[in-house]
Amino acid sequence: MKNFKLKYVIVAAAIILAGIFPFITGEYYRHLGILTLMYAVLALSWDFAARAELVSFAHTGFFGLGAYTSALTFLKLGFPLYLSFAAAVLLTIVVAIALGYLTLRLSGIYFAIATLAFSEVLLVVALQLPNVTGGAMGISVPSLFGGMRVYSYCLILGILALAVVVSIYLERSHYHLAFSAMRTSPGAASVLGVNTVRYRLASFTLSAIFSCLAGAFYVHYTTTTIPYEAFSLTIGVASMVMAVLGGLYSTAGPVLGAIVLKIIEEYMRVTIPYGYMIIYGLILVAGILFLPKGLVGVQKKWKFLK
Amino acid sequence: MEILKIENLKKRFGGVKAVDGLSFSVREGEILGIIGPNGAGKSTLFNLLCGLMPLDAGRITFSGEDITSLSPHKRCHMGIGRTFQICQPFKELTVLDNVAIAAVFGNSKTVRPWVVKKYSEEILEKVGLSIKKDLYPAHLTTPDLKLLEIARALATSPKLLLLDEVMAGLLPGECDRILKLIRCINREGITVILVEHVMRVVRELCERVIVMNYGQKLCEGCYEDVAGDKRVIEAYLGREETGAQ
Repeated sequence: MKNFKLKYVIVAAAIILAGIFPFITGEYYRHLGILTLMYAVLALSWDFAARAELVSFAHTGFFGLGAYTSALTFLKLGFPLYLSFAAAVLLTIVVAIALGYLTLRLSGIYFAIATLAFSEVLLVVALQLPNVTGGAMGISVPSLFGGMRVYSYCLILGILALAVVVSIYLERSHYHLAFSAMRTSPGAASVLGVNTVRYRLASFTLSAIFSCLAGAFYVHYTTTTIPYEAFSLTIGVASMVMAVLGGLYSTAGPVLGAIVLKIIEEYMRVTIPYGYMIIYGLILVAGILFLPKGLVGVQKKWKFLK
Repeated sequence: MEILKIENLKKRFGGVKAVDGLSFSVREGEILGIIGPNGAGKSTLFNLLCGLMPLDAGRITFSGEDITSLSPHKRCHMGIGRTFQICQPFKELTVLDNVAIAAVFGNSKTVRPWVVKKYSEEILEKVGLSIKKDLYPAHLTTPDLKLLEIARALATSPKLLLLDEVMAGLLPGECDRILKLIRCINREGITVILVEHVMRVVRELCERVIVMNYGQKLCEGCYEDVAGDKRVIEAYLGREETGAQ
């Protein structure tokens, strides 16, 4: 009972802090806050796929797809901002379901390779269609909300809140049962009536949607991007690392992982000008060695029927 | 009335014909035993019946409907339940949640969320696992894991239950407990197909036995007939050398 209350106090404090953060800090911290929230969305979205035992590198692809679709519909078709987000999400859903179907028989490392190839193909497409995408020169869009970071912060916080709500739903509903069954034994799950294809596609598509939203937000926020940045593998790897270090198959884990890693990264970048990535890497290795279940891994197991 | 009918079922793995032109039918309400030496294709047959493996040729009819190309979850909804020879509990979930999965997903009619708990508890009560409902599978003994397998299959409300060597690795006393349970399940109107190596169980439970060898049906009949059949003894023990005397 005591733990139960403490948990709610922590959650409430986190929500309040997240809400007032941009109003009590300066531009630099606002910017940092925005990027942290964006990575939290990415880490959570990576975890959505992981819940159905899908180790995906497609998140890089969906991030870039979101960025480019949103920017191009905004620039070339004159879509309003939110409609350009919606267009990006719609395209992502179609692509994710198609990719999901094509890779249905693949699992583990083979699925990872296929999704990696998908991301690389999108990168090449973005580079090789200069008339549409601007090629290696990239694209530029007007700055989001006229450069008002507070609004950008609110937008990405809203996207994260949506991802958190979806995540909590997945955790508390029958999806949780289906996912954990599929992780242990897909065969037994399907024999007991779980439509494994459907749940696998659902998890992959949901996951793609939030990567895409992060990408669409990113391009409008930074106002410019190039294929090597929007389709950079660093994005997919970072979201994976954050989710793993924070604690897989949970809502708090990936979010916490993103916040902790982003703070560490930024702190090191400022204090150790050269070679900070090495130290950062060492911290990751230590984290994975000593916290195999992640930061929230000590938490008690959750039960569907109490 | 026949509940399941298979015709000319074939499945090969590379050069091995695991199931080779097998045909038989199962009457509603019976307990059919399938025996045969290791590698005879019994487990492959179960995998074909529940849809985990695609078949190369043949036809499976269940309750008058052709289910040859249906996916496993649809067959489950139609009423085919099975257990695995090697228990496959969902280790992240409690015993109760393990059953709840089958209750939530395995029924063609949805079991309403608020009755899932009661429903699952009743199933556990029936197999005698009630007191262990909050444990995780890692803490269960082998007989309990077998009971959990049966409980999960039962929670999908099957019409036909495929039991793959549920007695393997159990002591005689533990066997008796499961034997009683199978009888009780059968009395409720569930047809059972049993793959088993423990002959005592086959003798006591099965009205009809099919012997498989090299993916084919070697013979069929009541236990006494089959056990005395020369071909069956040869399949298990090998042929006597004829030219020796």
